[in-house]
Order: sequence, then C-alpha cells, then structure tokens
Amino acid sequence: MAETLILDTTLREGEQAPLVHFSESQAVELARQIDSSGVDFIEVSPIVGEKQLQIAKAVLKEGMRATVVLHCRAKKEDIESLLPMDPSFIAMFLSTSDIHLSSKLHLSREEALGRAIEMVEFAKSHGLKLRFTCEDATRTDRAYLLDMVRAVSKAGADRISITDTVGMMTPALMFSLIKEVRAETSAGIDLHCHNDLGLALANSLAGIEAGADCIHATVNGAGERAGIPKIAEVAMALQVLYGQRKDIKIETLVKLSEKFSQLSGLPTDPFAPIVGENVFRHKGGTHLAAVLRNGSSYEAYSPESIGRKRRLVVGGYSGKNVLRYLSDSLGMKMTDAQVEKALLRLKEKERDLFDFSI
Amino acid sequence: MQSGISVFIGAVTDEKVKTAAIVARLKVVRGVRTIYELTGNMDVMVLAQSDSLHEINELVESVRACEGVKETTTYLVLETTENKQ
Repeated sequence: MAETLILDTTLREGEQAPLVHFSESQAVELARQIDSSGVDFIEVSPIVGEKQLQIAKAVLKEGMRATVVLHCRAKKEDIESLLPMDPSFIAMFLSTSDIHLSSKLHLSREEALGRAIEMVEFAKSHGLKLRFTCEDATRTDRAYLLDMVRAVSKAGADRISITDTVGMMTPALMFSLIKEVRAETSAGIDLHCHNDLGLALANSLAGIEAGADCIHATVNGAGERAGIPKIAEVAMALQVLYGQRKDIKIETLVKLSEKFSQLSGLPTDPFAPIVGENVFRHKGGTHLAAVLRNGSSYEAYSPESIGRKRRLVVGGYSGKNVLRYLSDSLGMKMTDAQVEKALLRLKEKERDLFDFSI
Repeated sequence: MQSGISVFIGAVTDEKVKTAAIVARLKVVRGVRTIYELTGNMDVMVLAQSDSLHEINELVESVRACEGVKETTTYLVLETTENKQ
C-alpha cells in the first residue's frame, strides 16, 4: 500500500463547526502549525466571504510546504474568482445524491453530470490541478456515481473525493464502494467521511485499504455536526496500524489540538485518543502494577513517542504497588505495615485523590 | 482530584548552621511551597508540590543536599482538608 496522503481541512470544514471562528492571524498561525506537522494538503475556502478570502490569500502567501487547496462550488463564477490567486490546486464540489440534487440543487442527474464535466473541463482549460468532490457520494445511486467518476476522470480531474456526507457508511460498505470506484478511475481518491455514527476514521481506513489514497481530517475532528476524523487519530492510526507516515509529527498535532481548544474555546474530550488528558492516565491497581513494570501492557503506543507523559492516579482503586513505587522513588522507606495502613486509608476514600506524571 | 504530588519533608538541621540560612537555601529549591520552622523531632518542615514524580524526587534530593540539613524524612500527602470556618 502506498503512503496515504492527509488533507487538513480545519480552516474549511473545521470552521463550519458551530462556535468555531478564526481571525485571519489565528488562521494563519494554525495553518503554519498544521503545515509543520507534515500533512500533504491544507484546504481553505475563499468563496465563503471576505474574511475567508483574506485567509486564503494569506495562507497562500506563506509559501506552505503542503499544497494549499482552494475549495469552491462546481460553478464557473466560483472557479473564475479563484483564478487571480494563481492556485496550485482547487477542489470543486457538486452533490450527486438524488436527495441533494432534488432538495438542494434542483438539478436532474443528467444536468448535474453535464455541469460536472463542463466545470472540470473549464478549470483544466485554465491549467488548474483539481479535485472533484462528489458530495453525498455514499447515498448516491451506485451506477450514477460510477458514471460521474468516469466522466470527471475523463474530463481531467486529478483527484476525486468520495464523501460520506452524513456518516452512514460502515467499513465493509466503504471498502466495497471504493473498490468499485478504484476500478473506474486512475485519479487519486480522497475520502471525506463524517462522524455522525462515530465511524468516520474506521470508514476512512477501510477506504484506504480498498485503494483510496487520501484522508480528510481536521484538528480535534471539528466540522459540521459530529465532524470528521481527528487529524491526530488519522496520523497515529496510519503510523501504528499501517507503518505509514512516520514523517508526520504527532507531537505537533497534540500541540495543535491544545491550540485549537484555546482559540475556539471548545475543550478537548478527555477520552479523545492521542490528545485527550486521559490517554496515558492509569488508575486500576492491577493496571498500575503492570504498567509500572512494562508500559506497553496497557498502552497501544508509548507516551514518549508523541511527546506526552504517563500519569498514575492514586485513590480508592489503588493497590499496594503504587504506594510501594512512590515510597521507593522518594526514598521514604515505608514498611510493609505502613503500606498496608496507607492502602486501607485510600480504600476508605472511595474516590481519586491525586494523579501525577512519571 | 488534585493534580500532582504533595510531600512534607521533615529535616533535622545542624545546630551550628543558622536556621535562617537553611531556610534561605530551601526557598530557592524548585517546587518548595512553604517552609515551617519547628520544635521537636524535626527542626524544619518543607511542603513541596509538583506534577512530576521525577521533579519531586529531584526536590527531595536537593533538600537532603542542602547545607545545614543533617537528615530528612519524607511524608506523602494523601489528601488535604482545609478548615475554612
């Protein structure tokens, strides 16, 4: 399997999350940090409004290592509006599901197919590299979706995004869908999976196993409704489970998560993998005893590998091991009787008293 | 739940060294919060806190190494109850 690409869309999808708004300077600061993590694409959305236009210009001006992708509708006026910015890559989206075509766009399937071909050809005629996004692809009639994929590929789309817009896929369904899409195009295949049922990352990985080569993600998973995959989880899953993308700096993504929380005012879930405060916090007596001998007995990856620290919780769930460990570490020379007595007193508390890093 | 470790470090000091000088040295040890001068088995009691066991360990070693400190005993704080009456 080739190395999977990662597209960060915090400044586009992420800002579509309720309560998330970035000033131009904040957005540029985030973009710099996202870029330094080693992701491949950074997506911005200059067509939304004046602020987003200025953000896109500022990000482009930064000269990012990642490719900056300008997101727009599959409309001539949108594409034309991007041309003065001299973009190296654009992404145009058009809904393909019947429910979106009828309720949102008031287009027939044939009209949508025609518009898709026309817009891709228009963008290519201006020498643009582009991604064509089939919005609501997973709820699109399968034969029609494959017609669309073939058509935009033939028109010159460099990449095609398959979106699970309302997060209704399972990994098995995503795998079979991407297998079929892969057979119809030689273009790169992006996956934009929403997390409405908590399966966005699993569906993205299934799509990668079936032949897609790029996952969309945001810092802390921010996005419409339940959001999309969290970028730290995507990168870490690729590293730990697939041995890929060792170049991505997970430490930077952990700091980005904190930065995002600070800027947005939205706290990070303590149970969030990779970045949550509980990820390396061990509490149960048997767990602590094992972890003190060998961290990997209860850890999928080491805290040191991502610049974090292991933490131990002392309280009603503790066993003798953690007390003995503290006593030995601090040169307290507690006797067995003192340890037993301290343990009884901890059990009396029936709650957590303190935690600390080791 | 409190974040971090708190310890009391009781010290027996050398009577030939002025307590004020010992306190001055202890005050600059990172993590030391409060220093009590006492009578009885211990001459000085230090309250120290840190998020990191490693730092607390270094702190205990620094107190032990402090000129004028003859011996120390460390007590781990399980819980603190403040009387606000």
